[in-house]
Amino acid sequence: MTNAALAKGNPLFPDFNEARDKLSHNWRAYLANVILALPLVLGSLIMFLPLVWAVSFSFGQPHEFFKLPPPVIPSALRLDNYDVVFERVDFLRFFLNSVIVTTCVTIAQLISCSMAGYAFARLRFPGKRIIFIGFLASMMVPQHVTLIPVFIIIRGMGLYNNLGALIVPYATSVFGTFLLKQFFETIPDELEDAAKIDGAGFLQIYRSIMLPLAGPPLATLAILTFNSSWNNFFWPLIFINSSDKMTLPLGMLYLRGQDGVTNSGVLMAAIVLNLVPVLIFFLIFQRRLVEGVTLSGLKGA
Amino acid sequence: MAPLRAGLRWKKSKPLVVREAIAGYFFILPTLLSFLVFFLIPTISGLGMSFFDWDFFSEPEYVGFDNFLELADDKLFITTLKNTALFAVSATALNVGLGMFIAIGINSIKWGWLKAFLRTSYFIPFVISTVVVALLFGFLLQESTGVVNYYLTRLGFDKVPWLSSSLWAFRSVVLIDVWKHVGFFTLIFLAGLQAIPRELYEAALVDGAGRLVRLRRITIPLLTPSLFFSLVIALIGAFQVFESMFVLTNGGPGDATRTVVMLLYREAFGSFNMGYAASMAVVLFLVILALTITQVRLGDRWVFYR
Amino acid sequence: MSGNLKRICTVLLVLLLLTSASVFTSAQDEVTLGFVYGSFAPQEKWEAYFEGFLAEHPEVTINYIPVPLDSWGDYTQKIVTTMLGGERVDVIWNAIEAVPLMAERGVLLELDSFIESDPDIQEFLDDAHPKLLEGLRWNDQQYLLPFAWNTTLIYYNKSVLESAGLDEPAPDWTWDDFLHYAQTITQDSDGDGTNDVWGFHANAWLWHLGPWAVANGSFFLNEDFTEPWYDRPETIEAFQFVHDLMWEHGVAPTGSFNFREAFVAGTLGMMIDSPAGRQRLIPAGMSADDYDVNFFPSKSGQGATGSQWGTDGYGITKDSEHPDLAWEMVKHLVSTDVMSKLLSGEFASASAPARTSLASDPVLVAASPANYWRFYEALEGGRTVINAPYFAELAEIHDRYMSQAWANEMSIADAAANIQADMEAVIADNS
Repeated sequence: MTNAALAKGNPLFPDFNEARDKLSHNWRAYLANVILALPLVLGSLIMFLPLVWAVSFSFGQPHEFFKLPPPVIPSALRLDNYDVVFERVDFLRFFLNSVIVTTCVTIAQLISCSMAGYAFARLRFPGKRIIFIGFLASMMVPQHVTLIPVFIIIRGMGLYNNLGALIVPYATSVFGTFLLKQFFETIPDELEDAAKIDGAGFLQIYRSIMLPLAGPPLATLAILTFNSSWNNFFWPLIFINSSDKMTLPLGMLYLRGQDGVTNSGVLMAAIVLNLVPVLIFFLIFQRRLVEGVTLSGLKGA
Repeated sequence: MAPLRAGLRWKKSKPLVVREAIAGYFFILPTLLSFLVFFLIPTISGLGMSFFDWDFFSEPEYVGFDNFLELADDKLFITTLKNTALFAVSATALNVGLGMFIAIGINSIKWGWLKAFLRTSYFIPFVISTVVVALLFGFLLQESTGVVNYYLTRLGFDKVPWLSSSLWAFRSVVLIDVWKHVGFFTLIFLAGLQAIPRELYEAALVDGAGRLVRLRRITIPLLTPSLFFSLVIALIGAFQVFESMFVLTNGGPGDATRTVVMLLYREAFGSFNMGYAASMAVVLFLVILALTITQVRLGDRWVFYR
Repeated sequence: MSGNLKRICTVLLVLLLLTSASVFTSAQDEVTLGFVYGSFAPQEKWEAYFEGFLAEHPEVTINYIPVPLDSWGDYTQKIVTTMLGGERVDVIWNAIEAVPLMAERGVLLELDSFIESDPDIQEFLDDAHPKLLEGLRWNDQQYLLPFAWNTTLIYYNKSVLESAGLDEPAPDWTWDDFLHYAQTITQDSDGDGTNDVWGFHANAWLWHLGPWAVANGSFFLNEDFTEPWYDRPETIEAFQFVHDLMWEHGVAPTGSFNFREAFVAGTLGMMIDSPAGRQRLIPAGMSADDYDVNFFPSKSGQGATGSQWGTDGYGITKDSEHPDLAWEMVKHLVSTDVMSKLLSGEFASASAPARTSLASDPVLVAASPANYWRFYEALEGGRTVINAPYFAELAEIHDRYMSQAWANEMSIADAAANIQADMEAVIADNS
């Protein structure tokens, strides 16, 4: 008599067979999960490892870089390289410049995009469709077409080699306008009508009805804008020449060109100093950031 | 009576339609101004500039299509155009392809915590600036003393001339681009997967469809809108690639990793050949435009719209 | 939310006011001189150069304009863009490479009239090394006054040589001697297939490659840079020797390599560097006794001591609204007082001072290795770096093909032939 037959015929354990099937099914699902997860986890290691190395090398001294295998855990938490970063370049200035530029750009975009988004979604005015189509079409044109004329315009405004050159052209965005327009279109008319009946003007409707509802899309826009402004490199490369006006990405390149940076550990330390605020930002706003990317993806699709 | 009161108030001033139009223009004013000053006027003058010979120091001189004729003959420009196209195709294929499979993989894992962990770890590089990424890999990928090569030799492989040989330098910039961006596309596909109705899978299960059949018959067809979107934006972005090469290889060895935008930047702000640089931008724009239109046209045939 | 909006608007307004305030505060009564400098060294270190001048001219404020210095070509391009961008520049710090271009572009003011009408400058002209003064002339006009100069020699790490059982090399060493040194130093002590100590590091850079050709009786181009010499057997042979160190003998690493870091760490025995190299070794904890410098080796030990040299200097822009004051500033910058700040290697630069009277200054001697005087020999018999209006184009051509030769994807002979042809085309275009 086989076990199965025994089990089947055993009145004491009526559910045994079912339980065993379930167990093996669970076990197989578990195994499938592991097999599936394994390459993905290995892949995620590739994502992490360079960052881990950056941290461990940032504590290292020159002779250690040539001692292979490279230590993954630093032999000591020596902060010398970090000192050199601050000695060699005005790292805090870069950081501050980045904060100023990013903050201004983000705030400006929140205001201008929500305003334009509101108008495109809820107001009727001649030329609206044409203007909006023009806005959308501009997303297709690479910024390099406009580069030289914008250089001349920025120069004419006296903003060359000034943080303003990194802010003013980015004070609004077509993407943000589009995002907010899509959102404002979903707001039911009744809300607006009630306010109109109470004699509210358009500015009041925008301020006290539209904006309070727009928290989620505004947060998404803020975070996406913050991220792209923080990492902007091409624009500063063209409009900023002096090191006291540099933002972090340009400052990093500049640090590498420094004569006195003999030690790769210094560069790694600077990289870590760059990573820390970005990763903190990421961890705090991760959900929103993911939502933002997802949303932009869904909208496009 | 509230409506009456409101009606009376409005009557006093201009008619509602006019007021609404004025409000409309007021609300779009900041965006419209910025659009005019930083997009429309520069685009038109940028297009116009490509018909001029101008070095910033002397008067611009109208040269008709000379800049474009010169471009067609410029071996370096052709090389950079080829490099850019090859980069765009390979980076797009890898980013989108890997992104899709990683997303499908993550989506079919049952444990929520692992899902969240994987999603986070693939996405992290996306928030790091390209300059930082390039500097970091420049250090890790050194040929003789780099960490990566050290472990490769430990595993019995030969050292790879990551950044020093033409072929590998090109592959390296593609791989680094994928490292940075694959998480972004993963997210887009994850969103696409979320949008697929569960009932479809349940119905398929009832019909006894296996994993692969479900993948082929349900998942992939329903992901085609995300796939289409990813392909379009990946290609547009990749054609404008600049930073990673600028920082990591400066176009070398030879011109193996020089891209159109790098050449354009140098022509404009290194040699001050403004007109010539503008004509490069126009060509780049036309290439991107043509590809996008083609993609949209072809998209109608294979994208599955519900 | 409307409260939030108000708050946001307030913040924005304050930020706008702050930025506009910083834009407009420069409008003042006194004279502001714009000074462009290479920001490889922080502003404080440059400020030290101006102490005496500002005491003498209390009405002057200096607007420091730091420009990143990656290469002289990029640096010059950035200066020109800065000026195009509307920034007022009066005094420029730049190098010999850029003189022809900046003169032709009409950026720099001719200094001869100042020199003729100012007897004070004679003392400097007598003291400055004549080669440097001559090098900063273009079309019969002085454009910059020389400040600090550089040339390259072979640096060797004494303790690395010692542990390889090598004596310090003779000044008239041959290529064979050099190869023997490099081979003896190169070691893979743990046998893992990666060398732990390298003999030498070879770059394809113009600055590093030129002296090999000079020591073999040739160079990149002729004296006035109108005729490329990449087709001369002496040039090709010299570059082939360097190439072989990597690909034939395996005594020099291929690919990018942080040679200064390795030199300090004792994992590289010999490298190429300039007097300014001292500045990189001092903070790394290397004293002047730990290393020394030697001439480039020659094929058969003919004892060629010349290398390739370049110099920086100060000049005045044509845009300057206060050229006389700018001239005073330039004069101050090349004074003995300011130039002696170079000597310890702790100020903005550790390049060699242009004034010959400072060559044997005790501070310089203490901060330099025993054979430091060889730099002066190398200058004496050396060739100037490429300084033609089209120097950036020439440099790009060299890099394009040499980088492929360095990756061993193109032979030195083919690279040289390509460079020769392309350079000839550029020169023909520009004449």
